[in-house]
Amino acid sequence: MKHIVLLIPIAAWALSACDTIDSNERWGEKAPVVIKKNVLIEDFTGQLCINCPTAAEEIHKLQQGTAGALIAVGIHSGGSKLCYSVEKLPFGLATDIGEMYNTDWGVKSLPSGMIDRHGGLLEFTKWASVAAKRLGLDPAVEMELSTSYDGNASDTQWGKAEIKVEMSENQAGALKNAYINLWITESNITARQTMPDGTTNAAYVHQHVLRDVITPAYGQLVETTDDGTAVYTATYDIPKIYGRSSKTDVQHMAVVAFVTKGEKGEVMQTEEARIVATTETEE
Amino acid sequence: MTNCKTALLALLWGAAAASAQNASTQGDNEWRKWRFTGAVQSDVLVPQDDETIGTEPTDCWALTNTYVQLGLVNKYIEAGARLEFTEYPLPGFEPDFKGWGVPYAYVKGNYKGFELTGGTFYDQFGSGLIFRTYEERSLGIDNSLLGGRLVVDAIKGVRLKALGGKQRRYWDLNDSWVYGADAEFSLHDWFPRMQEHNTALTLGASWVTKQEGQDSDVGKNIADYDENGHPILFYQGLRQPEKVGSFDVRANLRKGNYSFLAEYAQKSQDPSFDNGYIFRTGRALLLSGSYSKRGMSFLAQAKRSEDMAFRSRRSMTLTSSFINHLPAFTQQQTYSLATIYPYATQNVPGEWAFQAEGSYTFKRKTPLGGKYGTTIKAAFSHVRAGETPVAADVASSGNYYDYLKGDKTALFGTKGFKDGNFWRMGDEKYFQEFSVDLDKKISKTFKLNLKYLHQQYNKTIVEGEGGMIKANIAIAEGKWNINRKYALRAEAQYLHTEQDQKDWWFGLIEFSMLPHFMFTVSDQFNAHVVDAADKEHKVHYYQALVTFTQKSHRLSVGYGKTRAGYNCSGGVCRFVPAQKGLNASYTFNF
Repeated sequence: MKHIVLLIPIAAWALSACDTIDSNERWGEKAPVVIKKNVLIEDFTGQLCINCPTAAEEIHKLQQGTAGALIAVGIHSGGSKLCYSVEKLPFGLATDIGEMYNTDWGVKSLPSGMIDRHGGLLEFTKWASVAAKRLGLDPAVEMELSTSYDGNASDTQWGKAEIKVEMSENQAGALKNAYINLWITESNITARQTMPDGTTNAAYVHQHVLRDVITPAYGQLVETTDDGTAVYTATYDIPKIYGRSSKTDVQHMAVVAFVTKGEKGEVMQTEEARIVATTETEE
Repeated sequence: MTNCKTALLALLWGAAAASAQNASTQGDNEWRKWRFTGAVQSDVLVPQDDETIGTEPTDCWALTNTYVQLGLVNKYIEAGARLEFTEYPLPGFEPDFKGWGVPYAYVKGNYKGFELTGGTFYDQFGSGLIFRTYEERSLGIDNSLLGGRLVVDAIKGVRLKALGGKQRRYWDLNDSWVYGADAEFSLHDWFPRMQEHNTALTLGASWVTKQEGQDSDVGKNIADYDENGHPILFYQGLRQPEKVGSFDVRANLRKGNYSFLAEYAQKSQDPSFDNGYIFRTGRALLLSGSYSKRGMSFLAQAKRSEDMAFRSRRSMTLTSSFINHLPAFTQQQTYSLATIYPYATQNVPGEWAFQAEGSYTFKRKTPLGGKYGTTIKAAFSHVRAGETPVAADVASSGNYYDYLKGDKTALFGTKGFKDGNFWRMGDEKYFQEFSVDLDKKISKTFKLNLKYLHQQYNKTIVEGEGGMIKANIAIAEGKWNINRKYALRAEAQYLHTEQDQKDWWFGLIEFSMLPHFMFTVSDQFNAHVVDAADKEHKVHYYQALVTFTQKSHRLSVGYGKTRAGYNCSGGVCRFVPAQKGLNASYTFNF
């Protein structure tokens, strides 16, 4: 009996094992990604979040090689949670709508992201894989987004943006119960950001920051014609200031249009267009 | 996940056994004596919105975390199950915490030194460096295993365990398998002379393996250009080790009033979100010594850990799915202001931690002890970074400089850091605390406790922002037994810091009408948290509470506000958002 019992730890030790992977065996084959559709990344981020610049850098790396197919929106939010934006201070980039998205999607830590609202919230080490898969999908919907700008400024506004989205189905019935979302973003915003080493970079340049939502928060139901097409138009008055004192530059503002399957469903297609046409390229 | 059927079968089987007329083959009447045990715990909040303090909006009129645990026990068999209702949970828990069902159910049999458990169970190997499953309801932690466990105490001086199963994560089980074994040898049971010299020596060894399939969503995109100069994208997946093994060895020596523990643990390559998917060996060392006798005690311990976050799902974040638990080396504080800056153990990349505590009681009727005796306690904790030298293949690749600039994915797939000088310390301080506690009975009916703490808390490391907070805290608590029926307790606390939200005050008065009632009012006040309605009026985090106790029943009902902060236990923390409203708590044990 004693011998049998004492064999238990020996057997356990023998059965316990571990895999060791040499450095030259850790990576799989390089698989080319054939880009067939645009993909939306919603990046929940914050100006006091030390890991968020890393996620922003990850987005930048992901965008390289996709020729604009990967469209990112930075949603500054978090309120009093772990990492929060300084909405009440000058150049705070959080918005009420961003806070609502943060709560609705159950964001518990920053940075967190959603890729085409597929697979829920993802930590940024998974963005590359999920984005690659989504880029290679056949799009159910095609979209064409156009903007025109009337620069008739006033004290509080830069002018008006006229927005037109034309949609058509690649898959029959794709636009049935679909919701069109129009968001306003702004890039090249210089504002404070806590860096991974804990220091504050007052001259950090923020890209694709969510500024406003034109449609209802989770989109407007798409009204289709008999031939499976739809057109949605909107007019947006561009403010000079958001929040208490976050000044805008219309030259760096854009419209992001995306259509979802159902009100909070997966994103079927995304497009982005600058409000003011320019040859200047973003960082 | 609902294990109603399992729970019912377990309880029915136990009831059937209880009603059986024939006892065991040995005719032991103990077999027939069953005990029915149980516990109920319910915490309820009827929330109110308060924008000034930042409460989370909710559509529910009431929120609750409720637990009902039942068990049947006799000499040889034990069965139990627990119903949990967190469908409308209290604020601050992870989204997946929401749900209800019977996630905990087990049957355990023991006979002649053999104990076999089937179902859900908790256990720990040594200090928990490679295996600890436990429940901590205030943090929403329950990482139990669902499977089987065998414990053998059949040989004198030897205790063996073997276990295996899948780990619970809220209302699901993680896909991976976790299995392990533990052996402890009490040499003093084999060598009687050791016991004659009041000496006990226990040696232990453990092994734990996690088996988890490949995660195909871990990889990297590579941007390149084709022959025409057009951008082209490639995706490359990262191969992860499917078996992650760990071992732990320990020695525990007790001689007279002295006790010493030395424990070392190691874990194989375990790329995970926690460590940025690097292929590095994890290590931990724990040394502890203590002395204790009537009226005096002293403890000193040190811990070094590197990359010892061991989860059953490698991509998991926040507090769930840990297989192990590194002990916290900071004092668990109970006074309100002392818990404003709690330290959370940094499993990755690791830390050095030191702790020392001493207490001494000056006897009664001595000059320093006074008429009734005086106890003085002092405690010190210090936690800092360990050194993390760069692996050669990383340093030369250029990615390390991206890592230093903050790109945590830059070391993806590399060794990351080499297993260099384990003993060298890093420069960054994570946490430091010094406290002195004086406990004195002033008269037959009045007892006084005075406490002073100095804390240094690296908020950037623990919370992601905020810099180093240095705080001094003074606490005074008095307890007055007015007579056999009435007692009064009062607390006054003050925290001073130049950083963060600056100074705080706290006051509490508690009146007890023994044996059933207790009335408590408290207020926490900060001069810098402005009431939006009246900018000159500071926010008061007040609480009023009535507690009723009758035998095993305890009910407390209160109303007030709680500030946002961290609730920590054993070095694991959960962010709790600000709350306002009616709260009630009920517990019952039988």
